[in-house]
Amino acid sequence: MDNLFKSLKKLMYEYTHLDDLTPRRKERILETYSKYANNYDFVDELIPVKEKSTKEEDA
Amino acid sequence: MSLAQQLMKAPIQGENLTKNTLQYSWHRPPQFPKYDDAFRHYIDSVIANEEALSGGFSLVMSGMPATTAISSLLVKMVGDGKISPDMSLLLAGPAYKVFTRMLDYADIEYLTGFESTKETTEFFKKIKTTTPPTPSDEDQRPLPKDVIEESQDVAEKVNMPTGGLMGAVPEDAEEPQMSMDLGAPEPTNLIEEEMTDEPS
Repeated sequence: MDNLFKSLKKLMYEYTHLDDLTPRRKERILETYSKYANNYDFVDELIPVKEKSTKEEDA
Repeated sequence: MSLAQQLMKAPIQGENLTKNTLQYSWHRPPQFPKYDDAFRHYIDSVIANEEALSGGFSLVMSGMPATTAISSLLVKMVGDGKISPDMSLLLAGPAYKVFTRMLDYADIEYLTGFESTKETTEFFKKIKTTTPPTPSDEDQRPLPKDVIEESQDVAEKVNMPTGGLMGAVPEDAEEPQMSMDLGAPEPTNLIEEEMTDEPS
């Protein structure tokens, strides 16, 4: 069971830190989800990144 | 219990084959074998479910890393027979991403689960120093008179039965009349006995 938790954590890291991965690994992850309707781009656009307020940008 | 007793009580070889293992939901085929269906189920049951989402938020706010929260949720889904263990691995990344985006939207500070020990310690120190939000004076002001009167009028208009919803019906209440359209009787194959007045 411990291995399952470790694997889940590793996959969460890889999915959210694609730029830190090797190009081959990155391509493999994108390819895995590309065959589904809820692919990487869909999940990315499902809840867009919150833009920082102008006050924070000014600071 | 001694070792000899333990050995005597141990299952015999092949006993597992005689057990009914279908009582565990993870021994049966999962409810959502397809990724798209499983992801939709996750969105419907966790992200779109206000109660579940607020529960997850409170867990994360109390210091549980988001990775642990999502892992526990996925393992529970496997235990409930919703998804297979392989599907939980496939669903981990998208589920984590959507959940953390929701946390970012709610302006909640949280542990992702990938921080160093120092960052984690600082986070817990910060949690201890910050006080939980209290209702401001503006929230505790009494309601205006006209609002109170209006709410009382609305409450009077609502004809609630006395003694709760299952209370006795008042005497002056009109009995509801129900009309049932039974229609023409359907023909049956039964042989109907003709009634005759002749004495037997």
